[in-house]
Amino acid sequence: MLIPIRCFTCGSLIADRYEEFTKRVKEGEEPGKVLDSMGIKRYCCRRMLLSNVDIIDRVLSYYEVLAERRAEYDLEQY
Amino acid sequence: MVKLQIIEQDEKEIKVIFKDIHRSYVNAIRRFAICEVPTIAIDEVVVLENSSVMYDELIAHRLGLIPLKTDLTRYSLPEECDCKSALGCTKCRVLLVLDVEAGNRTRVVYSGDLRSEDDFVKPTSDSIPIVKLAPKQAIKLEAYARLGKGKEHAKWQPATVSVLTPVSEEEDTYMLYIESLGSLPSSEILSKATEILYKKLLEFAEKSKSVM
Repeated sequence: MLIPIRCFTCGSLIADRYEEFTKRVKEGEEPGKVLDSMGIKRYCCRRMLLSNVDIIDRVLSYYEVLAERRAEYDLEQY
Repeated sequence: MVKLQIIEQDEKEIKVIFKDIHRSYVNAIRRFAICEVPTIAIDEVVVLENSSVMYDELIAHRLGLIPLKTDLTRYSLPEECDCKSALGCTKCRVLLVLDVEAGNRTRVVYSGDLRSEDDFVKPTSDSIPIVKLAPKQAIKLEAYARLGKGKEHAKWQPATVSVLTPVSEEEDTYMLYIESLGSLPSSEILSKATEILYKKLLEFAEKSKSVM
């Protein structure tokens, strides 16, 4: 769902770097070099960031639409 | 005489060379750095409200894995605390509260949103995402953190990497490398691990005397 908090293998904290990592990769930087510059050296931690897909975003889009519809419905009532 | 030489040291990492020491002792220190030195982590969570898309258990698990800054002088293990209560006291338990509601926009709940009753015991990083909330969703919970050991659950490990490499085995020289998670400084992990080893050896000597 969301990025795991710790690396599955070594247990070091990785979740706090994920937003910076995705932002920089989206801006066109090379993922490997971004990881190097952030000081993530071991390949167990690197794969955590490289291979993650935030599925929660796909689930949340349904709830966003639901909230919109509810707001529209409430407007109609008054 | 055992000789110690610190090669590299900062908050996070420490590299030490041990000379004239048997491998079993340095290896014990290495293992204790992982599973015997206690740290504070969230252990019990009371969920008051959760309308997010994640299950209560999943959020509780994520909260448990957040490393918290630990003060070993003020806190003691619940089994060694003098309060002897299952609920704990101010010396063995820390309360953290999370109360977030998303407005009209999707919002990420970060570890920085956790409010601790102790100003020192806080998440080491304020930017760890815990959950994402869609508009109007809310989360409200009480989390109780306590001291624990890595052998009980990996969330209490103070060190992520703790490796022993032989420099020269004939002369009994080894290099110990410890990488801290941030809850304790690397030097404190090393000194605490040595202290625990010393205590355990004394205990063992005491017990073996009574057998003989």
